[in-house]
Amino acid sequence: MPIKSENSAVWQFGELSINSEAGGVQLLLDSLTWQEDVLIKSINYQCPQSLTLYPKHQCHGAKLSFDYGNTVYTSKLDSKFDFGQSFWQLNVSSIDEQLTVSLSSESRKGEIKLKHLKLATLIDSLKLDSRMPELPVGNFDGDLLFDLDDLGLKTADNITFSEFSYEYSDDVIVAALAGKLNFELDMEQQLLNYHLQLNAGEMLFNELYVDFSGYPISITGQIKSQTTGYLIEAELTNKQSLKLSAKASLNNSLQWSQPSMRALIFDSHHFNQHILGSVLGIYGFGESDMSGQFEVIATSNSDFFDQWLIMFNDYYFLNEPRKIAAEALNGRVDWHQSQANDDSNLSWQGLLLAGLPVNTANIQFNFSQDQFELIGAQSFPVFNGAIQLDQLKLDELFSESIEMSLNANILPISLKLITEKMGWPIMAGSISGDIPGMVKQGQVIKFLGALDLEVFEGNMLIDNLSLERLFGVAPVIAADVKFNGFDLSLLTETFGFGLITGKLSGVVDGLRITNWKTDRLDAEVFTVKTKGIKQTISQRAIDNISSLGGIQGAISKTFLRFFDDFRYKKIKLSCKLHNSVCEIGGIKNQNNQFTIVEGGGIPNINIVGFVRTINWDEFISRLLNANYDG
Amino acid sequence: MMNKWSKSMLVGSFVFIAACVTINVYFPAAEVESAAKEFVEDVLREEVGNDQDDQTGLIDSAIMRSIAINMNPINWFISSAHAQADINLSSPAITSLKKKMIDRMSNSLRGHLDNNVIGFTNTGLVEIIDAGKLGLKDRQAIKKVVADENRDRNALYREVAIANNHPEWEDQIRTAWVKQWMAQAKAGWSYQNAAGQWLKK
Repeated sequence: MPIKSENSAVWQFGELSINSEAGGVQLLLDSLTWQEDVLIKSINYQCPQSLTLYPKHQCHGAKLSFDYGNTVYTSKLDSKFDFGQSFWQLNVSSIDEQLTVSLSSESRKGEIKLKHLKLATLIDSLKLDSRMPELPVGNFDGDLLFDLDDLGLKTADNITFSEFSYEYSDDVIVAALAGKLNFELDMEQQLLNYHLQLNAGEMLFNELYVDFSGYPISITGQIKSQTTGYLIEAELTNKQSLKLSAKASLNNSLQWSQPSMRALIFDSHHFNQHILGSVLGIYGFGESDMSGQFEVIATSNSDFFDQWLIMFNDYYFLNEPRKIAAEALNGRVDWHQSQANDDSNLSWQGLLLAGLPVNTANIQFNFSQDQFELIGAQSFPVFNGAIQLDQLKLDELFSESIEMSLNANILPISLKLITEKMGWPIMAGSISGDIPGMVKQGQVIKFLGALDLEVFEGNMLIDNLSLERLFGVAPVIAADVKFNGFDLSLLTETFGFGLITGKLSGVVDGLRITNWKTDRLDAEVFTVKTKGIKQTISQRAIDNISSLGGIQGAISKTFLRFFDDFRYKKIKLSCKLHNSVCEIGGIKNQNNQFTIVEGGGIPNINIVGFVRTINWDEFISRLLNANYDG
Repeated sequence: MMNKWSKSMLVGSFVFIAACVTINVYFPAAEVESAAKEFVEDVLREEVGNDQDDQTGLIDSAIMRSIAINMNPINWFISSAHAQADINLSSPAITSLKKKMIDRMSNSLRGHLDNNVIGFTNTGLVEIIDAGKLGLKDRQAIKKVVADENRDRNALYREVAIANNHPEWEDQIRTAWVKQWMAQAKAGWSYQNAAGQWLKK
């Protein structure tokens, strides 16, 4: 029985049977076809009341079931028909009334009520063909309004949702989200405007974890149809620390393109506490503290972010375990993955890099592709001196082996200030010299030449210098050191050791400092007789050298205490440190006996040691605290 | 036709040549393995309540190591200069790394190994294999623990090589540790075989 309507839609009805009994009325239609495409089978309408069907029919609590696409759908129905007046009104709801659709012939507008609608039940009952590996679950409450004229759908008020969970993989998952949703969908314009408030639940996106009960987020955005897919825009806000806007195109194959993102972190302390801190922890920078603002802008002309701009605004950072800090950092770091980029600049009031403090300064550089290059010569003040970089260029930054081209030198820095900062005995003199080129291989930065320094009025050559895991686990500094011409009076004055005059030279092979503590070395220091330089050793110094062997007051407790100082011929001390034990030696090493000081006049004082091994910490403690009462 | 004398000469020559073969074992595999065994034992050891009743403590691990070395028949023949090299695991860096690894094992890793959330890889590291049993916050936390452990393990293999004056041994030392992590894994723990498959011990 075909029926043709005004808009050419063709309905075809199959066999119809009507049963009316005392217990109710039943209408059975074996098939209903629309435009030969849509086939609905086994339509069964049952009204529990015995009522007329024509010309008027009104039923409360009827049941409707039908088969569409081999799936049987059942629902509850409140209906009202007046065929004479061409009036009808329907309230169709799922059996448990989670979803109710209301529609009447008087209006092209209808209403959908969600009453604790379980998303899983809806998806399951609709038998949606989803490509998602896991289906989302969640509960929804609220009213939706739809308009059949302009094919619009919108929320009447906020829809509240809870327990919304979706697991894409072990690393991409949301759980127990709760909040409010507001949207307006215009099907004709293919436009969706939405506002979402997340007040509870959690999200894990690879390394990023968010607990929305502690860090509520609101998202406002739009999804607009384009010729090749959709344009998606979103503005994400946390009132206390974050404002993020993002945009991307999504094609019909669900592939992203031309993404852009701008994130202003206007309270980095709050953002770090809730979001960033735990991510930094994974990369070994846990226990970081920060304040101030920074902004991240990422753009792309392809399907991934390839240009990044980070802008700092009065930003502070501190990581005590790694000895890294930045104070009042301002400026921008601009990087492009595949082409030359604008220059970057940073300024700060103070920096701490692996313990090295850099005073107020600024830096201009270019960071493009895998290259970093300093723009022009720049000076970075360190204490009362500076590190002068005339040229610095790093190539292949993201490879295992980084080439560093460096032309730099240290302008004199007071040793007093360095040693004060390090908590070492205060040393006199200054440090200055050239810094050779460097290369980074894996975790190791190797200096390509020797570092030539001027210290204690002598010269120190640091060769084979390498820095390993500088900002990582158990950082290591390794080197071979040679020095000569040290003014012993300056050196001994520094350590409060008792005055020794003369010139000191030495060799420290295989020096390895791990976790800022000396781990290994093979050292030998000795005096070198120099024309015009007296070689004397004070009574106090003799007592203190003797104390290295555990003897206290070697001179001061004898008649020799009446002499202020003594002439010496040679002083030599060696230490081979391994497994925290130092094997000591001197001028003449015979069995367990070694000479540290060989006297050179009258009275002739020789200091001879008999204990060849000593715990390193004990040795250093005696050396640095050699302040026995004489 | 070869006479008896010639045959004897030929056989004698082979014996002589065979007797002159020199085997240079530059990498002290047995000692490294023994040191790795001891180190891994210390890290994986579960604390027991009453130390005084623990009779295993009466046998010094260094003595056991020495016995193990001497029981190895290879060591009866190989030049002592190479084979009896003592492996040093006592540098401050190694000691510090070991302490961190022991603490981490007690505080979190052991529980995750018991539950097969993580396993031992065939590269001497640990890896998350199934975090599905964990809450989201714990999934992030385990990433940190695994990253920390792997940073320490990578540093350890290098530091052991350096402490023994052979940085070039790092890969072989890592291999020795891989073997021990797997050998001493508890029944039920997950590990990765050479082909990269995850198996349960």
